[in-house]
Amino acid sequence: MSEREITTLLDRIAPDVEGETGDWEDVLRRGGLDRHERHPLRQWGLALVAAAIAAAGLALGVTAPWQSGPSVLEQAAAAISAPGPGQILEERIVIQSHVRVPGPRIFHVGVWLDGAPPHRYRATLDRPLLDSLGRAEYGGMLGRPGGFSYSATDKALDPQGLAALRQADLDPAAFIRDAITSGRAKVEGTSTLHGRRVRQILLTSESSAGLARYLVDAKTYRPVRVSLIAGPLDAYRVGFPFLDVTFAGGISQMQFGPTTGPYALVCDFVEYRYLPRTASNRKLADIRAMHPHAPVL
Amino acid sequence: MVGVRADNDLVAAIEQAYRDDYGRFLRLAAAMLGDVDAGRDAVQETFARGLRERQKLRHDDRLKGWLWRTLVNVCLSEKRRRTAPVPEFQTNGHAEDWPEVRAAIAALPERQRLVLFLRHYADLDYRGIAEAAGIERGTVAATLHAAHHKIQEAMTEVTL
Repeated sequence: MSEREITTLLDRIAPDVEGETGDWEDVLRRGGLDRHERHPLRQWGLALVAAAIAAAGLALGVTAPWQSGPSVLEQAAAAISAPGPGQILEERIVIQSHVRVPGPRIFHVGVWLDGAPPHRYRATLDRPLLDSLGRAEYGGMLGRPGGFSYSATDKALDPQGLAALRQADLDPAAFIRDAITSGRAKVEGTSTLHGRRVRQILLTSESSAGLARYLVDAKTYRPVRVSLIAGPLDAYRVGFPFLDVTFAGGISQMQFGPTTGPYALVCDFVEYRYLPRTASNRKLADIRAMHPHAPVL
Repeated sequence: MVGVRADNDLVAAIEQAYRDDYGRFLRLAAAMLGDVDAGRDAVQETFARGLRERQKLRHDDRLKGWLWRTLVNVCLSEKRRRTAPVPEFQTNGHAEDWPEVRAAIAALPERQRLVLFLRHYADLDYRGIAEAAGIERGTVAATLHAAHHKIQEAMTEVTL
């Protein structure tokens, strides 16, 4: 076995950190070199911006329905929650189940959502309990029932009776926005996760049997982590991401927990970004375009 | 040549190293600590330490070597600090893959494992490995060879 072969082998079992770029601002803080402190004039500028934000927040308080205390930051969260018509939303999530069940407890999900009509989406899901089926894919269009699944083993597109999904079913940022506007969310404050400043948003279901804590980037409001404890129905209500998709095609084989619940899941967003809507990126959200030669069953 | 760098240049050089090689630093730290989260913290601490102690680096033209060595030390300290057993090699969630190889890596003496990771995950040459691991350059090849041999043996068992 050559050194190159050993490198290849080690690559296969390497820690999966692809695409991570770190957080230099956190390094500066830890190293005692906060950039803002190094520029006194900029501090004045920030103070003015903060004052403006505070004033705007007071103004919003008159009319906004948000239960958790209206703020410009929440408005910002709403503002960024939808990909524009020139963008493709890309999400890569690692889901860890903390309920003891036989088999693997870590799952990988990928989602692509086209910001332009007809808003195609595609999700990839690993199915470790059914290795023979390989990775599964589902795809369709927002607001329309139906769609296709694709199995790497069958190499064919299979029509599926997928539910008519909303953006919030696929995009946690949209879900948070909806939860805030409907008064089901409470902003708990900020904390640090892996050196990253995050804002905590707590969601509870009406029955209080489901609870989810969303950690979003304190600046961009993009999802960082969702932790959830809930039964199957409450899991929907507190927004377990992708539940519709993951259960639509028998993906319950992922076996997050007993079918009756409860689930205890941690969903880490390894990637959450907007891609330009180039021809190749559009394909990512289009299951038929991704498999142009696959026959339809 | 040993250069004397201005403070701003030093900070910029450390930032550049972070942006250029974050992935490699993280892969090494995550492999050493058996945990990607702990690896992220170790990388952050390494570069923060670089900023705090940058005056020492003003006369050191081997900034990256210093950073790799510091990361190794941060990870080793973290492993010693933990009271709970540290998983030797947690990876990308497919822990059922290549169990024999994982077991072989976990069974390596710490120095061999470190050299293996520095070679294959940090992608360092022999000089860089020696510097980061704090060993003689002449022993790197033999240490790496021994580690490779044990992995080869594990793979042989798999294919038999």
